[in-house]
Amino acid sequence: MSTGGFGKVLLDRLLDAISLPVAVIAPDHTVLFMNRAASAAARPGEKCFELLAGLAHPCSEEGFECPVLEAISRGRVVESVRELDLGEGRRTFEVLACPIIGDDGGVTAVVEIIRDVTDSMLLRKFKELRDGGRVLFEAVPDAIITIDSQGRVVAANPAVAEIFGVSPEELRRKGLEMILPAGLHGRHDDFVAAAAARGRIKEGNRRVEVNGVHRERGEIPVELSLSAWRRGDEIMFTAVIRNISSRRALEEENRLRHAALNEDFSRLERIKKEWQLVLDSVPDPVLMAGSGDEIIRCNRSLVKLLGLDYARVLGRQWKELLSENGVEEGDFWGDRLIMVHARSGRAFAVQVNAARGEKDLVGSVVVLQEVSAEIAMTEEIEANRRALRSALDGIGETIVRVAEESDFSLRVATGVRGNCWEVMACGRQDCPSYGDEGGRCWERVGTFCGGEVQGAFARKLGNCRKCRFYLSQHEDPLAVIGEQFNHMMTILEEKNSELMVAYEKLKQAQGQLLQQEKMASIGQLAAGVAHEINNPVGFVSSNLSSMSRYGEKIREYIATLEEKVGDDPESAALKKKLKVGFILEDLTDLVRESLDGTDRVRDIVMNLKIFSRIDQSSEKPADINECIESTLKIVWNELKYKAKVEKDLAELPLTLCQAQQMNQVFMNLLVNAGQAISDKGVIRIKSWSEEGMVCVSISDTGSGIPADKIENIFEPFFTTKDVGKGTGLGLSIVYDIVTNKHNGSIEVKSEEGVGTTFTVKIPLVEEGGGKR
Amino acid sequence: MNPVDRILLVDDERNVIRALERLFIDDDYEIFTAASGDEGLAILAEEEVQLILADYRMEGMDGVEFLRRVYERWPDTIRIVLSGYADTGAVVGAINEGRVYKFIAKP
Repeated sequence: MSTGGFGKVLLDRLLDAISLPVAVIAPDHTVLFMNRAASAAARPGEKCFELLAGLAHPCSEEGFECPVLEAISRGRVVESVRELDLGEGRRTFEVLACPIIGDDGGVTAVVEIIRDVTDSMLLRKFKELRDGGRVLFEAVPDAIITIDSQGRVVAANPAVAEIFGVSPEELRRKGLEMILPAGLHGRHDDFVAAAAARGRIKEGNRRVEVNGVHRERGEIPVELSLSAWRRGDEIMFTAVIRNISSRRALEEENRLRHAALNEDFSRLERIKKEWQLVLDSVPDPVLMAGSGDEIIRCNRSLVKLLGLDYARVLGRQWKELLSENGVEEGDFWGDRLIMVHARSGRAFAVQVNAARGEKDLVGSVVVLQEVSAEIAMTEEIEANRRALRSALDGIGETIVRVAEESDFSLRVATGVRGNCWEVMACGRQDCPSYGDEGGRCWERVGTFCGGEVQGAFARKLGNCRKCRFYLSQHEDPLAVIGEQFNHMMTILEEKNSELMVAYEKLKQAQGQLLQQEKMASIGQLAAGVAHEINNPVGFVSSNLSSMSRYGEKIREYIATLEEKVGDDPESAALKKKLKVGFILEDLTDLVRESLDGTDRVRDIVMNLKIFSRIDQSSEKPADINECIESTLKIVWNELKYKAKVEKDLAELPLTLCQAQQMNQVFMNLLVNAGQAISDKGVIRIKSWSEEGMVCVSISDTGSGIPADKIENIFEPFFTTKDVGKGTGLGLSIVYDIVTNKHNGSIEVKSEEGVGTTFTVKIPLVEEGGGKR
Repeated sequence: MNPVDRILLVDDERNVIRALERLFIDDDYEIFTAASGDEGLAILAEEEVQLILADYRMEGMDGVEFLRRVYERWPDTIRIVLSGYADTGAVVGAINEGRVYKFIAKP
């Protein structure tokens, strides 16, 4: 500088008067000059970086372009800012480097003016902050409210209008209670006072959710951030308040959605469990297979059947798995494929249902429906059916045989085993059932079951139903059917024999009736005929007697004539030619024989009349011998060529009887006797009375009656005679007349090839009812 | 009663009348015959008869009816019924109505 001495002093003073450090620095960083302010702050050293920055090297080495070098290189003023810690903390310096151009045009030195701009930077920053704060304060959606330690509102941002519906000015004017819930009125100031006294806030920068009050909308949920700060000595409180209604709503919505999801999930879970439970409770194994027949799901029955756990079942090919574990395909049962579990013998009908209808469900549901019981039942039914069939066949066969053979004693085999007296061990050997064929006891009348004499089956059925033996025999329904059938047969047999007896009785009665009617009409006819025969026989007989007398007279006359005529040859010749001698002799015989003939006719007529006496329906005293005689005459025609009749008739008292019927008795017995004699024989008729009975025996020397038939001979329509010869009624009528009509008895003794004797005995009854 | 010497035989059967006539041929009786009751009554109206033999069964008037009428007009006659029909009713009728002397059953 070429200001001279004055100039230099002035300049120095001037420079010293400047409060800013000023230094003149050579291009090699050597400080040529420093003013007072620079010297005051200078550090030891020569170079600028030593003196001014307290560094051991040029500043540029720290990434900071040294302002000296920069000003030299640029040839103009360079301004730069750098932060340095010169012992008063880090501060900011503004460095102004002005190159001093020498006469040669080169830079000879650089004047550096250094200004501490830390404070002005801070202020600017503060201003920026404050401006930014203001913007924030006014722009944030959160309400920012500052109160002093007395609770008065000192600041409120515009957001309070949005959140609380009051303007910041109104809030400042009217106070905080406007936005406080009623419950806090009067208390909030106490909290503020307590916090101010404490010097801090309990909640300390925490966010709390409380309720505020919107002027129109009422209470609203808000999030509150409280901070305390000092202004001077006073503690201030600033609250940042955010309306969290929508957040709450969102949260609530989320919570609800979450809850709904949870519920859906748990419902799904429950449904899944329910279905699993359902499936598990199905006794039949059920599985669901994927498209490759791999098991996706299955129920407990399947794993139990296989004896595996789920893990070893799922994912396996089901057919393979079943086969590996002893469940093999068997036969078809009807149209259903059967799989059999070899170990347990259980049988399953396999049912494969294609899982269709759902896009992502491809595969099948396989049900192994257990049909063991059904198969067993079917087999049992089939066995029962067969058994029933055979039982019914047996019954049918028996019915056919019964029908064909009319043998009601036929029974079906019922498979009854055991004997009642052995099973019951009653020890009653005198019981009708003792020693009987097994299972006949309930049909037997008069058994001693239970210590009481029992009736027929129908009567003792109730007892039988309680009887251990009966029950044991009737466990098998087939045996029961057989037994019932046999019971029915027993009843049928009984009924049949009853019917037979009734039928025989009816036939007998009808036969007797017929016979009686026949006899009656024969009697009437005979009586009429007898009358008609009687007349001609009467005059024939009378005429014969007359003729006999005439004969005597003629003979007498001829004898007289012959005496008178003497031996006239012509008369003698004529007499010889005409056999007059013989005629006269024979005339007596002729008449006698003719009279004998008429006598016989008369006898027959008489006997016919006696036999068929019309008024014989009531009992009358009769001589049985007379009955015998008259009957004998009637049947004599039949007997005379075969038999010699020997009579031994004792004198009998008259007895009350129906003589016509007794005639019939003797006639039938005599006719039978005659028929029993094939060639020649003897019939002996004997009568006697004994012990108040009139007895007649009629014996023949005929063929006799076979022993096996002798008990049938009195049965109606029983006959040993050839067809047409006998009606089978004769002896039954005899029996009826003797035993029923006359309270008598008839006995028969017979020996084959020797002969037969019938003995008839009827009580001797005198007229008036007295019995002798 | 006068001894019997006139007899009336009544029977619709000619053979019977003839046979009866022959019975009486050796005795000295005067015999009248009639083939019916009416004829008999006509004879009785003409002739005196002590004994009447009548058949029971005849065409038209029977023996009992005939004898009843005879009894009405000639109660002194001896009346005998001949019958082959042994009927109690006939006997009773003959006795009560015909007041017959005897009922002779034909042999």
